[in-house]
Amino acid sequence: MSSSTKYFDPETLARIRPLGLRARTLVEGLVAGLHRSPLRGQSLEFSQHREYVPGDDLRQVDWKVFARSDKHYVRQYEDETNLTAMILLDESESMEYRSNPQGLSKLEYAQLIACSLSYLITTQHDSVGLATFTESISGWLRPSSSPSSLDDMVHLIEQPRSQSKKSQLSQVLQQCLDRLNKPNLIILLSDLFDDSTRMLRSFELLQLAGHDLLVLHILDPWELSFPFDQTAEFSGLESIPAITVDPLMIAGAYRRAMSEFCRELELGCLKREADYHRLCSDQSLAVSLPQVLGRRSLRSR
Amino acid sequence: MQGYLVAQVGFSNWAMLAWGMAAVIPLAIHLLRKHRRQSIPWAAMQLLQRVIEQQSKRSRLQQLILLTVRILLLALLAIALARPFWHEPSTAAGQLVARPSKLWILVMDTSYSMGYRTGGQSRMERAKQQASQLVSNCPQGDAFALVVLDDPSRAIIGTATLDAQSTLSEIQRLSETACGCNLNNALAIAADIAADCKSNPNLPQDIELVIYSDLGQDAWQTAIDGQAAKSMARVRQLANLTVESLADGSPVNVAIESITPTTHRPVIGNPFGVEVAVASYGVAVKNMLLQLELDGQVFASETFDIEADQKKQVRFQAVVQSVGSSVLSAMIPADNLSVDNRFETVVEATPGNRVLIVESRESNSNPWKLALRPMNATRAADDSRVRVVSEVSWATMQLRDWNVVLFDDIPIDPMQLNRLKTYIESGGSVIFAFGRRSVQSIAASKENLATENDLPDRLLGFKFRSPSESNDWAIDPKEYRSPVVAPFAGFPNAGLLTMPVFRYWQIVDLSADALVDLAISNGDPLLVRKPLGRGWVVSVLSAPEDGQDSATTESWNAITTWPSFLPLAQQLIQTISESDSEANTKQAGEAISDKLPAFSQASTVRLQRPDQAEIRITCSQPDRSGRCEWSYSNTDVRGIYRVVEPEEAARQFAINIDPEQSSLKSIDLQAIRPLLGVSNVEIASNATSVDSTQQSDSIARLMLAMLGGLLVLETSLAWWIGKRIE
Repeated sequence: MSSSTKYFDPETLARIRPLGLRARTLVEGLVAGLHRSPLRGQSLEFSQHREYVPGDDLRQVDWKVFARSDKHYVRQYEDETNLTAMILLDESESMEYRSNPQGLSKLEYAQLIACSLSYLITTQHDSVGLATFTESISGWLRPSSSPSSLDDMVHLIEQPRSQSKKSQLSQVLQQCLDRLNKPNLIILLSDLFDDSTRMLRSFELLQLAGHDLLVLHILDPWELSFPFDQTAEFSGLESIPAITVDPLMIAGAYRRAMSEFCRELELGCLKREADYHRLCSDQSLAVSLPQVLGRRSLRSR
Repeated sequence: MQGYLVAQVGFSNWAMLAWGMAAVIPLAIHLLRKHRRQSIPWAAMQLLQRVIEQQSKRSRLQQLILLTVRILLLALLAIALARPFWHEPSTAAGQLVARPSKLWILVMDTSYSMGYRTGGQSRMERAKQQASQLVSNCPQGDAFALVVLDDPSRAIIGTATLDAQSTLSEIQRLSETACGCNLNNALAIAADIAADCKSNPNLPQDIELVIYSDLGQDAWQTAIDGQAAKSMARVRQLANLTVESLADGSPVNVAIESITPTTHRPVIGNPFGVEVAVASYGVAVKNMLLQLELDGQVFASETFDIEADQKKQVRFQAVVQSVGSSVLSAMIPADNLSVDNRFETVVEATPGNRVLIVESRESNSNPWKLALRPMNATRAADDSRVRVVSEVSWATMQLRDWNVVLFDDIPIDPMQLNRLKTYIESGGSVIFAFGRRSVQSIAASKENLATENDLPDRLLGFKFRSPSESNDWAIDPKEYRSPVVAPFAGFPNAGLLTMPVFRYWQIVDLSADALVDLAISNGDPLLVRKPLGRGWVVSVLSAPEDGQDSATTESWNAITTWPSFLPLAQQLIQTISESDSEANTKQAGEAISDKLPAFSQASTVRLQRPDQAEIRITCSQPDRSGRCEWSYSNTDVRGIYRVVEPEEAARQFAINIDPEQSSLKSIDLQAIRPLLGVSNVEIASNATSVDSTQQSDSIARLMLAMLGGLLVLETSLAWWIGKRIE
């Protein structure tokens, strides 16, 4: 492992506290390999020339082109508005699951990503906000481009969580819609263990409201592989009654069901023009974050 | 049997069923896996719930099927190893349903062939198992009788009893004997029990006769063409008959069939031959060890090869060093039927035959003396073995010191006749060479004996009529059947047939037990031998005199001058010395008996059996000679029976099996089926009506095929389920 990538190993990061330092460590390592932030939604770059029509601002007329062609053309630029990102962090009990006691839980993994992205966004003078939720939004930090907002964000994340342990994602997204009055980049960090139909419907509503949605689906490796071989009592983390089952009898079916579930979400997101990324909590962030940002960069062009 | 019984399965080897316990292993593993559970906190519970709802029922069913297949697999393996056989529905051990009470007459074959073991169990044990099962399954109200098919057969429970428990106890007490099998006897007893039951209205009138037997060829052939056929017919009129065959398919056995010493009275220090007959049935053996024991000490052994279904004679040389009775045993390693792996006989070692010759005139008996003198004997030894005394001297001599007393034409004092009789009955032998003088004295003694005037006739076994005419009579060797002349067989020029006999005594009223060893060609006896007690009386009806009749100067014969005289005289002495010892060796089931010496005061005899049991036998009233007789007939165990008390009557008897059954040949069931009658006779067996082993094998094969199928099914199921899990 190289010195730069060792900072992204979940087990290494798990040993770093507090969270702010952990995120800084991560992003500093990360931006060292990037030339340009891929999270620039709008830019100041030139886009194209258009023929002048009456009413156009004369300041936009390109006189150099007029001198060469004796025709009036107006310069057009890409939208120049700044990026406003809203990170939604699922803090339900299911996010606390970790298969490796030495590694990160899904929540810690998500928190790390949230902080890293926030740090990344604020360093490029864009605004970022944070909403933590379980059944409903439990913490809300308005988007801000101030560097001090990162500290507020860390503070909010590290606050004790509410008693409610079950997530209601569709309800939370509705609440977000109500609170956000202009289009934003919404980054959803969750294991998405909710009703997929209602969830995708909520994504659609976000899309219709002009929001850009980036879904980061965070799962534990054991949730994907289901590597158990002895009869066990599976106790639910979200107040779901325990189930005793012989894993060998259902392992195959479980893996198929999990795969279908992820596929359904991925297709649903694609259909709704939302970005979907599945991240495994044992996956090195040096791999997963560039992948997410890289794909995002391609999409924004 | 009116369908009262339900079909069922039996097993040739019950012990193997214990492996059926292995069938619980998959179940135990299954339960253990269920019991051992860990608690796992889990996030994706909704997904898990959904999967379980979809999969659980199907998976459980699959697991249950797999578990059942695995249990079946192991259970079937155990059953196949136990070699199951199908029991005919109507036979003994079926389960009974409500029906009128019955009398069950159980006839259990206890002949020695029932000791044949296969799969760790003897035929007898299987028979007891089946019979016990039958009795246990019978409802209350059924009566039972028990007969053993032995030789002789006997009733163990001769009067029908309603007590199933005591019947079961009696069945369990049965064991195979060393005897053969007398089917006629057993059927007659069973028929009597059935007849008694029919005449008693308080007993069940529906009678079932169940015979558990290995269907030995010799015994059961009599049911077809022998004595037992009548008894079988009688039984059929009185009862429904079921025959349970305990026969095995192709039994293999190596047996000792006899042990024959060249003499039963060997002379101490003198080697004698021992011939052991060995037979092999169904198996060829190589390098089998045959050992010879004398009084429990192995003194010779030899290995031999024998082909299947062949007999072989193995010869040994033996020497006895001490006087008295010794047990000579031959043995081979134990096999499936161990009772016939040992054969015993008793020999009476003597210091040598001691012959007392009583002569009428000095040197008149020299030919006898010369003929009987032992080879290489010194003069002193000669005198102690063969002694010639005058007719005056013998009356005061102790006859017990001599094996044989030879009267060479000696007139017998009537008062001495009783003395001679006692001497003969206690084991001595007397040879009368009848010339003119001796016959006249016999006639005179009959007149003088007031009370027992037939004593001479009883002693000799005939009456004198008259001398024959003078002629050159030819000799009839009576086909050389007698051991006295047997050595001459095949040697017609040895002199026996040309022995010069001119006159002889004609006799009449020859008793039935008298044996004619040699005769005149016209049929008149010349040499008569009659058993009396443990001894013999031999009458030579033309005295081998010294050539001439002193009164008439007429010559009666020239026997002593002829070359055949010497071997004939020696063979005669040998034969009468042997016979008593041969009586010490008998077959199981034959009675052994003896008489106490006249001087004995004992009224009982203590007999020790081979199984160490001691029997006290009461003797009969003394006969006219003052001797008491005892007899013991329950010789059902092979081995040595010893008379241990009184000391003066001490004697050993060797009881051996009748080797006839060693072949273990069973009669073909199909052959006896029509003879038994199909209407009311069932033939069942461990393996139904054909061959138990063959049937058992075929069921085992079928089960193995099923096992193979199950194995394939289990593998496929496990693969399929595993694939689905993946």
